[in-house]
Amino acid sequence: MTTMTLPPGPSLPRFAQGAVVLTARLRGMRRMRARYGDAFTVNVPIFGRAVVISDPDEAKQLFTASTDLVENVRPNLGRVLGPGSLFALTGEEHREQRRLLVPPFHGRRLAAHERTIEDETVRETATWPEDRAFPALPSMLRITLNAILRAVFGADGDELADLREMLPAWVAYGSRLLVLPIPKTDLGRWSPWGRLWIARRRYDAIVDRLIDKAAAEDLDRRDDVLALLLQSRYDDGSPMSRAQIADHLLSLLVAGHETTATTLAWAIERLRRHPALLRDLAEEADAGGGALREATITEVQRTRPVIDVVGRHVTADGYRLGRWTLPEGCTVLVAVALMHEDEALFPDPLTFDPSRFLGVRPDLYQWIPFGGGRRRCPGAAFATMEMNVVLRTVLRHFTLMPTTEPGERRHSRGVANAPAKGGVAVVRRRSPEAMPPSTIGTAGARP
Amino acid sequence: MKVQIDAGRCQGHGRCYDLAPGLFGDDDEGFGKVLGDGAVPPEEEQEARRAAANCPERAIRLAEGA
Ligand code: HEM
Ligand code: SF4
Repeated sequence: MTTMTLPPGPSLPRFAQGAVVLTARLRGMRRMRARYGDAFTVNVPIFGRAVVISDPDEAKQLFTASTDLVENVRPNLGRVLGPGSLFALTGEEHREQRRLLVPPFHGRRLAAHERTIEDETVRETATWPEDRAFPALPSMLRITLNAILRAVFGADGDELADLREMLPAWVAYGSRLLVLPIPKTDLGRWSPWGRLWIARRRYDAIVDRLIDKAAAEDLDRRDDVLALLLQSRYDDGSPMSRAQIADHLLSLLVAGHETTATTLAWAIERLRRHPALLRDLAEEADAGGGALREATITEVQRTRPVIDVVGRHVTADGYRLGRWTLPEGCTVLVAVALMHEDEALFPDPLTFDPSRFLGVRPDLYQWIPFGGGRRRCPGAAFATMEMNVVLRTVLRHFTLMPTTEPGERRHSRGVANAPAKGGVAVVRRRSPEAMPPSTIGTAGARP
Repeated sequence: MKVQIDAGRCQGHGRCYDLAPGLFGDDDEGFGKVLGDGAVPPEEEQEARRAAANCPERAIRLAEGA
């Protein structure tokens, strides 16, 4: 028998540790790291015995491990989004489905989304009040929801209005249900799972209508994900099932909207506390540049990653991960913020300083807000482009007023962390003469 | 040295064109592609190795001495 070597960890009862790690997440993890080093073992609800790592070499090894050794963390969002969701799929099937989802969020099609996002931003920010504090997050949520709806379904219509109304609640259920056991019997329509299933039936009916509509159209002329999936064929020539399509689309909508919006709210929160940077960014946006803005987004994601941990599930007994030998069934959590705060990787790590990324691409195993390896977020290029366009548009139309208030604390919305006050903004509209003409083109889409 | 991408394995993660933009690019659909005929000038061999080592799908082949 292989001897297992797990990192050290506390012997608190499971419940107490769970509370430490998952409710006061970052504080709890910082404390554990101070006590045990960059890797430690905890016993938590949901995942059971979990090894938390934050060394980039070990993370790289985990992210690039073969699928015979590790798979996606269990449970994951797949239980809420459906068995056809990328989150739920494993092995060869995951590979095959994921490949289909690359083209709509990369290359030529990526550039096509820029205009829509700029329009959405202009429309949403038209209602922003001047000289009065308001949280930016609700606006960001509406912009990113519309952006992903348009990318997924193409043109707007009545069905999208229905989805727009029902999806935000879904994200909230999803994050709560992630931690509740799936009941074996139906507990009724007022139980959390019952509510989810009712919402799912409504969603499926809407997607059915959209598919029927699309079938009557010339799909070749459409660039949205739905059109693409309807046209895809398996090797044996068979089309993708409606259930599979519905699971993919829902996953993209849920995974793609809140994460991007909370990161944008953090960007507003950070920028208002760095007046000199704010001035430089406004000048750069007027001059048509973008290098500093790109570096700023990278630094926002380093210092305020909205997802705390990226997890994997060990499927082979005696899996060797760096210094450790892990048993089958063990959960490994890569602690994103702990890695991002490592002094050896980022000197003066707690200082917000975009210049550390000026003209340098981050190392993709040290900077991991999008996870890593085969399961790395497939929407990363899209999200990066989107955040760039939204910020550029805001900077061109408004002067963001600096503040000396202390930074906002992290507030967990379930899946993503948001600034506790929603990223409070105070803005002044710029006079139209002072505004540079819109120049569509170079919103850097990577990483 | 020469580089090649196995299109059947490539999943469009884009590590190759991030790490070695002189050797790789992305196609219209977002998958990796080799620029030119894939011949690697001596001063870029280091980058080619880095790209190959970082491709999560091991889709990049290096032919030494070619
Ligand atoms: C700033 C915005 C975003 C952040 C911070 C983010 C973060 C993440 C993270 C950490 C993962 C897990 C990766 C792993 O397990 O290694 C992930 C997966 C995923 N994301 Fe994103 N994401 C963002 C935007 C998006 C967008 C815009 C989309 C859709 C276009 C999207 C779709 C997905 C999907 C489908 C997965 C599952 C991938 C798989 O399991 O293979 N995300 N994301
Ligand atoms: S790094 Fe590998 S998988 Fe990614 S684009 Fe390049 S060849 Fe394809």
